[in-house]
Amino acid sequence: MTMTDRTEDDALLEDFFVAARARPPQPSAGLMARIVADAAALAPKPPAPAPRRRTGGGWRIGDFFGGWSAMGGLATAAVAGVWIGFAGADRFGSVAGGMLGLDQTESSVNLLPDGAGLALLTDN
Amino acid sequence: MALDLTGEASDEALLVLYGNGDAAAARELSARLAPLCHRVAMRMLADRAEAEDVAQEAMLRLWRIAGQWRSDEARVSTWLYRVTANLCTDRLRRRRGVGIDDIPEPADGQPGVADRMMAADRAAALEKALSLLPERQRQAVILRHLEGLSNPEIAQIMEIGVEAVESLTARGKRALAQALAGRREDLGYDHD
Repeated sequence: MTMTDRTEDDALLEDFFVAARARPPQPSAGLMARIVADAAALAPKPPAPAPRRRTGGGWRIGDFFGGWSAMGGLATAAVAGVWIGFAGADRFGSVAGGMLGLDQTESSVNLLPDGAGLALLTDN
Repeated sequence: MALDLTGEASDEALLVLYGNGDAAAARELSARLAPLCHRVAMRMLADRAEAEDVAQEAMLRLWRIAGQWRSDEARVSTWLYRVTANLCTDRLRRRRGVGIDDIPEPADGQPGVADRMMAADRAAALEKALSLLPERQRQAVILRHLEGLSNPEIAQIMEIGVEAVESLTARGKRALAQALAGRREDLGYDHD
């Protein structure tokens, strides 16, 4: 192919590229709604306030480990892993939350009342 | 939020906000970035249903990693281009391959179709010609000439060197020119 041919080809193609750039395919409203719904379902929750210890009956997972204050970060993460398995992965979006709730609204994915998460581990 | 600065925030800043639970940031990001995923997927796959699936999956992956996004890493748009391109590659490899020799027939000639056709027809002709290219050439041409990205950015997206990008775009353009040149008259292409 000669240089002249290449230049003519580029000129030919540029007309097509210009036409195509002027007409980008647009996402449908349905697609946009699904994407926004996915974002809502996977939105990380702001961290719960630090729970205050209260005496009282009932099962508290922290009791198994001698209390939260006795646990280091690694043990806390291990407990969190147990909690994720217990309560469902949807509240921890970066772990496995994407597997759930693609067709559901935020309110239908949460298994716990808002804010109840970590507090339930030590409060009753 | 007391102030609505989402319109001026960078994609990266919005992603961090979303990672901290800001729903408005996600809506702004969706408005900015979902069209990117969808547009590239449509041009790569030429199938609306598949393109929508790819776009939704690419954005889903973005939402999932938002909490770990590091602002000193690649730009969000670069990351999304790469994820979208890889998802399209997966889909294309599942389809039966189509060879470059399968040149499309010229549009059926109605009497008087020697008239100049609308630019929309040129866009459609390009879309069809693109679908004939090998996937990597198609990807490079779309990113360079339809998305307007630089060769270094395309190299990042496709995870190859800049020279490889240039080679792919050159070969892709030659093949496109071959496919489209046969339709110059049909498409009202008046160069002399």
